[in-house]
Amino acid sequence: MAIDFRGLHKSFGRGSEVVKVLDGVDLSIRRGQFVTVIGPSGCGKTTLLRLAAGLVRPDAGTVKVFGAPVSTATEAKRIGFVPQAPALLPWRSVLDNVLLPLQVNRKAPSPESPPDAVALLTALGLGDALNRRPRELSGGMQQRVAIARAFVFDPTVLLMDEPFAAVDELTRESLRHALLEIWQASGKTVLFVTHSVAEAVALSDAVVVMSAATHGVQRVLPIDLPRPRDEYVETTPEFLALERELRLELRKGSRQAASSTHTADSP
Amino acid sequence: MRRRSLRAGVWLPPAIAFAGLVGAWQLYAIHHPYVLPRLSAIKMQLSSHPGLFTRNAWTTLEEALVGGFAGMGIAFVLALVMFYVRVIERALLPLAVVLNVTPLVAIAPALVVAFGFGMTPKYVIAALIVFFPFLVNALTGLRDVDPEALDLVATLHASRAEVLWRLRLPSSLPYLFAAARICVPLSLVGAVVAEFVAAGDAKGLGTLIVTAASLGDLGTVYAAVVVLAALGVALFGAVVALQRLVLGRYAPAVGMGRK
Repeated sequence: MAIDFRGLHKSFGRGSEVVKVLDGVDLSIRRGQFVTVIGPSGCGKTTLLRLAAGLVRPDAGTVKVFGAPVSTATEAKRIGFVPQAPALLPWRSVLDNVLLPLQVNRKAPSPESPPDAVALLTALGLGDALNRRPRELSGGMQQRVAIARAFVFDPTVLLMDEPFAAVDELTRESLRHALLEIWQASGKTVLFVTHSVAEAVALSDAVVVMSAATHGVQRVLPIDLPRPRDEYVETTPEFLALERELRLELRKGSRQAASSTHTADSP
Repeated sequence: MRRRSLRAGVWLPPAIAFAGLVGAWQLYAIHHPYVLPRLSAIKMQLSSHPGLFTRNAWTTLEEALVGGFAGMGIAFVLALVMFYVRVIERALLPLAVVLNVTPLVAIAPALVVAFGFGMTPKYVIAALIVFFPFLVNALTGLRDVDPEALDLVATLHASRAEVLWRLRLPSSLPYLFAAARICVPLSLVGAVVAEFVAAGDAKGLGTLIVTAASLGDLGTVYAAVVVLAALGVALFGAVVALQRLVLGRYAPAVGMGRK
């Protein structure tokens, strides 16, 4: 398994203000799979991703990346992280921002065939912007730089935390396809957190629906649409049926959450 | 941008204000020669004793720069130590606050007694006066790093030194320059205060002012003040120029219609 979550529990806060976020999560992601996590706010999807990134430690349970603890994977630079905001360094050019991962933790084994940063940026439509500053770019272009930065050191696992949440719908779609295009040949395992149903279906091999009521996995919905996918996939009846099923699943989850809060509130 | 700064609307108001001040000064000085010297008297002092003012200006400038930069350097190193070792911050920051609120003029005589009438007490006082503002700004700057960028380098297992060099130092530069804009002119204040207290050394513009004032020589006093003002403007201008040069990298090289 590329990523393996076993019996995960995680709460934040102390004393009377403890907020339970994950309560017994088991999830396995196979090598090369593109898996999306979706769910209402507070269901713990971002926490799940941060656990896999080693940014948060579980209260109980284990996270393994290719059979080893997360810290082993980060030490070897096998995890590519794309945060919610592009987090580009304003004093560096676009190209230098992409090169940042190569400049830290040089003790990690270098990739066998490292992708060329300029080629990556060109493939993402930023070939003319190599020497520009992040502030000169639109939000969508900044996010493309962040994607190139995650690919440049050839990690085996990509963790993406709602990377397209801050851009408009049209930009979102073009980012989605840009990501699919450079991911498709790469064989990387992806864990992708999103709020968007269409995004989840369009990108994934499987969608993990998380529930705010049980603080765990509600259902794993396989997406068997053919690859490579382009924007026309999103108009097919198969796509629309999956989208509908996912929406219904999410609605079921939020009804459960509403009733469980209700019982919790009543004496 | 550059063209706009040449527009009359930008330079005319301060020019008029300056001309008004000069006129008012001159009018007042004609009738009250013991309160304000005439501008011509100041000018005469400057032009007839250029060596005197240059020599003393160099002394004061040296005190301010050596002391000021030493103070900023020590403050920065301490900020780094405080940042990485919280216990030291908790222990020393209250002391630094006390030092900051204590009027430096009150400590200066004691420092002169301790270090003599040479350059040392001037360096020390100039260093002390810049210490706190630089320390606080450096600490803030080291902390003010994009948290998501910190997350990113954490997933790459970047070392502390790498995070400091690649993220924290560049992020703190705007704060360090903001502090330097305050501290570099402030170091001049420290040097002059030290010279007031340790006037026996007979060097520096502060000493010149004290001596001339005791003789009622207002022309020399104001001439020294003019030189000090010019030094202050030059130091401030140098910091701003360096800031533009270094922090230009933070903003787009070509304007995109943003400031």
